Amino acid sequence: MIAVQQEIVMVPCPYGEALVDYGRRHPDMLCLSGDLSYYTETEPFRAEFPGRFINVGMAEANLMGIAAGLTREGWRPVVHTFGTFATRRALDQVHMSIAVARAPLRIMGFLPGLTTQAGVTHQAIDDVAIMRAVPGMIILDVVDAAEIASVHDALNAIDGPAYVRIARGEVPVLAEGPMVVGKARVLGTGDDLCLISSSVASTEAVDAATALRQAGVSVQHLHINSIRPLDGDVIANAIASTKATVVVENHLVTGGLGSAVCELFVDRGLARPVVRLGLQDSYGGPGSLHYLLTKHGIDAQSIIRAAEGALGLVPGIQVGAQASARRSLW
Amino acid sequence: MTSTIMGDQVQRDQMRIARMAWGIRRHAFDVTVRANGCYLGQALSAAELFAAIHTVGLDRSRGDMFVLSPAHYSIAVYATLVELGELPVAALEEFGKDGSPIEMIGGHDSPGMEFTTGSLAQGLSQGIGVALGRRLRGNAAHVWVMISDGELEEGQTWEAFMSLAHYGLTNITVFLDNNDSQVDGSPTKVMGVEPIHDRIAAFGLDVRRIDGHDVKALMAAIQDPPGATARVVVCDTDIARGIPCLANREHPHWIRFRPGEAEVALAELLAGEPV
Ligand SMILES: Cc1ncc(C[n+]2csc(CCOP(=O)(O)OP(=O)(O)O)c2C)c(N)n1
Repeated sequence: MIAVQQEIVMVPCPYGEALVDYGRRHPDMLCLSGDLSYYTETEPFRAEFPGRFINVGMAEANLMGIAAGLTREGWRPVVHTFGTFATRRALDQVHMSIAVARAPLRIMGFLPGLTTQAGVTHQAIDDVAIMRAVPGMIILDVVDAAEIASVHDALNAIDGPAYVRIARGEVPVLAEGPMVVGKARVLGTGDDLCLISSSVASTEAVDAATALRQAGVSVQHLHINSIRPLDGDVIANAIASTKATVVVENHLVTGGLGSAVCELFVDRGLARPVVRLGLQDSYGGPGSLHYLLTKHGIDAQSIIRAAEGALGLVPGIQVGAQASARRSLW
Repeated sequence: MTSTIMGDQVQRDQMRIARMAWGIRRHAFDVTVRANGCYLGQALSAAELFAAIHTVGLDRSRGDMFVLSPAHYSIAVYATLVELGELPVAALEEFGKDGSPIEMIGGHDSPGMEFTTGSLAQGLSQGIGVALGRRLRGNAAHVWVMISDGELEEGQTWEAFMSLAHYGLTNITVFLDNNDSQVDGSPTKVMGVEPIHDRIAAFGLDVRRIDGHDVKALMAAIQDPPGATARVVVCDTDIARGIPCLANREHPHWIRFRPGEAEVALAELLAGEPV
């Protein structure tokens, strides 16, 4: 059976204007860039506040150190680079200059997971895992237009460092209203399957959930934009009130959302089948988002297969046709 | 008599390099049109540099290695291989396609690429490791490394220069494509890297600064007898060389032609074809 797909609206580049708006209301905020202003949507901010825009050039270790130093003088830096460079390239500086000192700054890591054709050097498939091993680091994973637009306000009260992996360009509308740190977004309620997703895997999960529901499977769908803190109560409740759980992420299955959810299973003594989808001990590689998601089993059809397996259903549910048309936008 | 024969050879090499450089630009242009976007400016700025290294520098029979540090220049590597007859021109049709090793930003599986260097400023260190390893084995093969001006902003590049001088390696030559471009514009505006010559020379390296489109100067930098330390050739180049209509772009770092622009660009390119 082929499902009729629910339409997901796409919105172009909400981050740039949201940053300007936040900057207007917070004169102590500075925008830092590592020679990636154009690619991290900070050019509107630079145009409006040239004096509060600091380009450190392509020098990520220096970028993190300078940001940390600025916090000592009462500034609130928002650091913009790609997620791979923020984590792999400048990790000791993130630890020692920022996290140990609990420096109140934001690190914005663009190109999450497979959302770039620039290959393995640019695909942040391990940034959540790396940052989960940084004590005290808040970790957000924003993909939806409203959460991207509200992310700095959501973090405003947090007086320590935060890492935000963030999508750029055309982004989906998954839910209404501003995000809240530590709160899962409930995209659907049900009692057969608990589907937990993040980043672009959430649009795949929406497509999968639509097809599953049309086939009579009741789906509880949680979109997670806050990985630390995790919405433990809501997630545990969703797991406990369904028969099986599928976690799908735009990241390695080691150390990311799937790992965090499995730790919750253990911590709360939950006994349910769980399947983790994501990159399985593999780099991403060359290709478009849809190609890579499919290759690595993170696409809607793979989610459906995993759900059928976890629930003991006869395989055969098919994803709707509009899903692939939308995916070509990425 | 001998000097005339040698003079003929020099002229032939110059001509070959100029033709190959034009061919590199042409292939990069075609790929940019076909793939609807490419790192075209990098091929335009570094075309002579690539052609010269691969014509009168790199000796495959000796086992020489070419190391591309800024991997987003890989279109220039693929185009060079096509010009050398080592890669069929049809391979360029696979550029940027799903799963293709002819990647927009090449990795170690891509033709002509030794390492995965899209996270920039890591190639020179690896090239130094190869050169050191070869010297330890008494291997005479040479290592040719290409780096970019943006890479001068990463500390690792300067750590690499430090070790290049410290180990006194002379089996390695470094070419810097100083095209005055990085993602956010000119390094002068983003994060100054000048005075490049004096900074590198202060490490005790054999630096020379040339016009990177001057084939004679490139050949001399390659063929002059080695000095006491590694040679670093700073090549001042133009990111719109051969396609001047791209000169005033706000973001020349990555080119997607606007409607009607490719036709103008092609006409400019064809007008500059060496006879
Ligand atoms: C470590 C690292 N940081 C940032 C980037 C993103 N990036 C890609 S190209 C580039 C500019 C590099 O300068 P250069 O090679 O001189 O630029 P070009 O001449 O190609 O315009 C940057 C910052 C990267 N690839 N690697």
